[in-house]
Amino acid sequence: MSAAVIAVRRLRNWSAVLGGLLVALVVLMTLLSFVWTPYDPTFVNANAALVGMGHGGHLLGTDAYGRDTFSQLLVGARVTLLAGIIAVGISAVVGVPAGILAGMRARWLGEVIMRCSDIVFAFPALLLAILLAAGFGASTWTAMVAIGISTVPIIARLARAATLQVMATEYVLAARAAGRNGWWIARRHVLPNIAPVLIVQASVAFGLAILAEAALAYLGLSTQPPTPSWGRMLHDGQGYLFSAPRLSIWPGIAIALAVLGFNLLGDGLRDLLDPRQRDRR
Amino acid sequence: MTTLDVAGLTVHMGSVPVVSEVDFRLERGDRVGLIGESGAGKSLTALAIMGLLPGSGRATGRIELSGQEIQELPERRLARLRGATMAMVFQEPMTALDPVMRVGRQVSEVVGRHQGVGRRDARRIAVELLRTVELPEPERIARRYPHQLSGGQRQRVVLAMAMANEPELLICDEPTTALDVTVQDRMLRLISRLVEERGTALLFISHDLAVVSALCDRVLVMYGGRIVESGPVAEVFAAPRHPYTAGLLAASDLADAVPGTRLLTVPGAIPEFGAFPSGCVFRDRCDRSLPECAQLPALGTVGAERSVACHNPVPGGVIR
Amino acid sequence: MSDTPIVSAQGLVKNFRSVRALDGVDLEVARGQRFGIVGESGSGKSTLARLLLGLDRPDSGTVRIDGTLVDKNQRFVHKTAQMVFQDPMSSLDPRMRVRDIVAEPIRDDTNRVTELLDAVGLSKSVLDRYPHQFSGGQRQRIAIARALAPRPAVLVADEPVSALDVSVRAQILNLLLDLTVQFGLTLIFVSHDLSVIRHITDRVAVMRQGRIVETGPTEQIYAAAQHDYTRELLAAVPRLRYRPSRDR
Repeated sequence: MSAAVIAVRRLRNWSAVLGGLLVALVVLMTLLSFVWTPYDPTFVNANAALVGMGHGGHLLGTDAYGRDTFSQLLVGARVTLLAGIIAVGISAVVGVPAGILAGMRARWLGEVIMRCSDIVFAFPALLLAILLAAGFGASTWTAMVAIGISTVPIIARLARAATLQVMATEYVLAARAAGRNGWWIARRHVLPNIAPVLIVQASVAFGLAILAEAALAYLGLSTQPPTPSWGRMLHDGQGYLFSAPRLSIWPGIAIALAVLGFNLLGDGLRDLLDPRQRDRR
Repeated sequence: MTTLDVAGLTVHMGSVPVVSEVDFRLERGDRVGLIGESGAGKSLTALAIMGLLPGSGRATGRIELSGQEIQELPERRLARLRGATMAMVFQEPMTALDPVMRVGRQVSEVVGRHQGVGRRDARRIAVELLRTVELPEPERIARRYPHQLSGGQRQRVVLAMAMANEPELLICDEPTTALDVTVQDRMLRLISRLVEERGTALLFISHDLAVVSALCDRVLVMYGGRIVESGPVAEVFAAPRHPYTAGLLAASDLADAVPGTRLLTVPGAIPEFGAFPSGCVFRDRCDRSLPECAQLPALGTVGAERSVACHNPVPGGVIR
Repeated sequence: MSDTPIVSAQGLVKNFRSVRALDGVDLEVARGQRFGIVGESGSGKSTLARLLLGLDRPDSGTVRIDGTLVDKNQRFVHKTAQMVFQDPMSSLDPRMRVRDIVAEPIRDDTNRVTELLDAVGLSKSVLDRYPHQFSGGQRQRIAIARALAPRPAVLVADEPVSALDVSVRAQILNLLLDLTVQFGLTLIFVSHDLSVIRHITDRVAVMRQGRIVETGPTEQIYAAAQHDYTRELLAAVPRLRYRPSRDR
């Protein structure tokens, strides 16, 4: 094994560790926010508006309403994590089985599934978010259900393509010759072999969901005030981009690091799950 | 006239030596077979000559093509030689052709690039080349896409591209392995005719000893990245001196074995690169190995045109 | 009982879209026979192999294994007939350990798996390793062990040695011959390689464009092929022009 390849592999492990740390940080912030925040993140204090970093006991300063930025970041992590979990959860729970089924039953059932998926795909996520918000009242949940549903076709299509590849292999034929049924083949052969692509796609979708939440929050179609979310903070901060850039910078950094963390973790997991990568000599 | 002179060619992939101190020479019109199991270093030898080693590959030693040292040449000048002075045909014709370009255009591009002719002329020459490789209705074939051709037809197109600029050296790496026997048979005859007419030197890589015996005059036997035996095909195959050559021949010779009986074979499996034993690379699979095999045997001459690297060669080439 | 063929097919027709892959194939393989199916790509030989094991359904025609209709009793077929494939990399799931691969046709049983590995010349130290850690020949041994797991009477081998080097090919052919004797297997050997077919089978069917053009005892076909296509195939087989003399 060449030195270059080993170096690349070390780097990959290293990036998985870094990704894990970043994700752990978001989780930690979420957990911490339930038990402790320096201030009530929604407490409006006109006397402490736009306090600079490190002044008046506010580590990262306050916003135009005098709310403590650090406390808002901590509580905002909840929304971020929830947003990712709901959106990716919905798209995975619906999309993966649908894709596998479409790939394994390539005839009419597969066609029906994929055409349904095309219809969902053609339906704009924003319109869905508006409809859900109109029906149930805008919240983090409606926004993320909308994002989740609109990513289902992407995951389903990916799962189907990967499944078709696996179904064309001789080890699936061997499993059928061994008398194993479709359920066994899906569980023992298809899922483990398509998992790497799905994990990478899920980590990308996680990042996109966080960004989408921020965008929808900006449009008022997601997390409602006064509940803080990183997207909302970014939105609120834009009016002070020149006078108090930190109001945009901190949530911006938080979003960027969280998205990066999930992507690095996804890449790392893919390699960890592959026996060929795991024990290359 | 010497077309290709390789001396002390050593190839490393990263820090692992995969080809070691390979020497051989091809005169004009020579047909030399390079045989051995997969993982012996045959393809890497060919890629090193073409200057096409993958990623971390690095070659040292001397490679002379028609008197010009090419091993040290910068990529830009080497690229000009590829397809013109030396050409290569790979095993899988589907991946050697661009799936979204008509085959006539692919052939005429090779012609245009090296011969400096206009598009019209290049096109005409391309159709002629397709005719030369015995494709029926070459004008129609030229308008097709690769996937519209059969495997044998595709490999003919690849051969037409390789021969487009009348190279002095043609390297074929398992060109017929993916083809049916009847198609292989016609393809081998075609290669044979083309190199003979043009005096092209042929380096033919194969694991199929029967194919090599039909096409080549000389043979190089490779194992563990080293040439372990070389000489005229007729002599080497009739009386192999290296135990590895003898084992390969015994395992190949189904026609001479009694049907339904066990075949003679080379025991064990070829190690991975970097895992070959020190000293003689074959000694852990060899039933003739001696204590002195811990020392690397030199490739010594036996007879007028033959060499073997073995401390205990098979006497007279009779398999026990 | 023993004079009824263990595998028989009548009037098999199979189309893929508009292409006729099999065009009326009849076949009988006697118990204990080593039966060769030879043909070039597109001859329908692999399609035939799959139909014989019920891995695909014919458009018309029937297959019986040991007297039982294949599409009526799948479970019986999987116990009676097993298959070995061409590419031992693609036929083993890269994410499964050897113990799970070999045990796929049976219930997990380490003793039985060890016994099977032993039969194909592998030690039990390989149980927890993955396919990529083996050479092509060793992978094919693992695939053969898996096929033997349900104690089949019939082993269908579809080009089992064409992806292997000559020395390994000889090892696997030797193994298949040994196993047919040891377990009293009926072997159906599908190949494009007439020299391999000649060595390993005692009866052969020559296929072309979805039909069997000639069938008979292997030696007889090689000595005096009746059909032009068989003769053409035989003439195209590359032969060692020079070979060592052997002292037998």
